[in-house]
Amino acid sequence: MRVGLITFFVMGAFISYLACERWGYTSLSVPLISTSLLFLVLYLRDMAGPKPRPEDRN
Amino acid sequence: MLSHDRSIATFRPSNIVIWMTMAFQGGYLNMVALMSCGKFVSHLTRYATLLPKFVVSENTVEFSLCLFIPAAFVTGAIFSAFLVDSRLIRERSPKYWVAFGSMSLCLAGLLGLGLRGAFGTFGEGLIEAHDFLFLSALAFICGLQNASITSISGSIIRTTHLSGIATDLGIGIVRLWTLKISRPDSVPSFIQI
Repeated sequence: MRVGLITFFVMGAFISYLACERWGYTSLSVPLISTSLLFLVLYLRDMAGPKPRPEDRN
Repeated sequence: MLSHDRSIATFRPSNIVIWMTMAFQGGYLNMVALMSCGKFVSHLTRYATLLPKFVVSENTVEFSLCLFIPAAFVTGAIFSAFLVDSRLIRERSPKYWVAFGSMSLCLAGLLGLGLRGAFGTFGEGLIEAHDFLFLSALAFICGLQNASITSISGSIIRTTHLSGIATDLGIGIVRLWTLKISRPDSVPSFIQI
């Protein structure tokens, strides 16, 4: 897993380098898309999960 | 608390995708900062090391940067702690989606302002105050992202810098090898290393 994290970090830096050279500020749209997708997935997962009952809160 | 279905702390394929995407984003944002202003945003060790040098040389621009970037990173971590860690301590469901939504909003703001020319020409280096704002916003996003993933993984996973992961990797390799020799029945899967 840690090898994967390191690989993805380097891959992100590499793709970012290419994107920044070509597109400048537009390259920020890549992390914007990925974060927005994750936000959507996590929001739907949170909404679909069981709601805590009032007595659980106390 | 962390084991219910909605948690993103467990070793499930969908959660591993989230962690890898965040690691990808960590590398990506750091490179954006480097390409736009020639500075890193998640490498705080660099700023801590260089701070005394800039104090002695009275370089106020670099000295300010050594304060701004770590401060923005910590602010992002504090914001995340309210949404994730604090709620985990109070046994409430963490608001991952608010953290990720905030990151999206920040990125959208930076993209919009950048395209409108608010941060000057891309790649011009650290020249004006707006470059500080751009770098601070990127550092805030990195702090928010790193703290969120750190809280939910019990400080196992970091996604914006590699020193901790590389250290854990070294320890994990030796642990795997040692367990294989001494206790073959309790060897963890390679994916957990």
